[in-house]
Amino acid sequence: MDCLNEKVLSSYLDERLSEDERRRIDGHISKCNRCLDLLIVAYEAQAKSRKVSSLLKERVKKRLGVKQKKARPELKWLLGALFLFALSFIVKRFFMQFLVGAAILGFKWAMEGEGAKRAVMIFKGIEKKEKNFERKSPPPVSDINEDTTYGTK
Amino acid sequence: MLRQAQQHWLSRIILYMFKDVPKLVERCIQGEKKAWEEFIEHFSGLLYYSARERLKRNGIAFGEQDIEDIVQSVFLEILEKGRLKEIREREKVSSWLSIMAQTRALNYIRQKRERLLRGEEFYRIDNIRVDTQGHIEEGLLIKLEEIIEGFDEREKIVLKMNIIYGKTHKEIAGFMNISINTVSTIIARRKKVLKEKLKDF
Repeated sequence: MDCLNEKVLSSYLDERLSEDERRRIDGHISKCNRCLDLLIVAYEAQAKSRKVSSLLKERVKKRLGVKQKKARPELKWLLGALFLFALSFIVKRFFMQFLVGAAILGFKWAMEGEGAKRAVMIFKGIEKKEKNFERKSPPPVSDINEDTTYGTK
Repeated sequence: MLRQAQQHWLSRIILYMFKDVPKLVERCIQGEKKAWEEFIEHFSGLLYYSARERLKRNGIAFGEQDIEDIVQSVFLEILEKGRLKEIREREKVSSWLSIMAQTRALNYIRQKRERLLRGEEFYRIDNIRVDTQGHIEEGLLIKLEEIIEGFDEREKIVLKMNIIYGKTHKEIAGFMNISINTVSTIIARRKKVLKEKLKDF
């Protein structure tokens, strides 16, 4: 069975097909598990694709010869948020507008910042450590046999 | 006047923050380095997820380094061969990128293992690993394929997506560009037939 090429497959998800074309692809993917599965992952990827490490992005950029970004690109969002926050008190007429703008930029900074990611990782680490060191309560007296020994003799 | 200027700047800020994909693609085609940097930032996650998911679903063992190499090779191919020019509708680039990452992932593993596997072997329905809540027996899957063979093409896709992939009616409707009612009707009608024929399982 000849499989459909990448462009035809992606056009199925992008809704730029006539009814006839769509029916032709339906006919193929109803029989071909390869193409159906490729499409399902592509469909899911649009919603589920997650953030990848900045290390990977930097390596890709380096290999492609694309200029690397500044050390802390997310700082511009923080500065913008602070600027709008200050402005909201100066230009009182647009207080709410500037405040909302500051909140949006602040949110963007929090989402992009390495600091926020690191903080989440630290909290997760602490939580895990606490679980590992959680004190277990001693067994009930009825469960202790005569042979059971505690500590070194 | 002031309101117009406000709206103009607001729209520019929103575009800058949430990426105007067609414009970004256009700038990449023109060879703007900064645009490529943004393109990689924007689509790395999509490529990473697609390549990883493809290998996982096909039950292929892989490491993080493999995925990174695949993502790199996809970007490299797009850049060096100027493949973005082939895209007609530039706002719809993500599904094409995802499919490309998946096929390159399989090619990469094929080359890495240095053995030839026939395409169908990779995609046989019992080779596909899907994160559904319950585990579906392989025998049941094969039987299911046999039963739905006689169904209408759309019905086959709907039933496979619902039973094998565990997709909701809404997700199937979005995927196939049909109404939720149509999906629900197909499932309700055909599940009765399936239940009858799969009584022994």
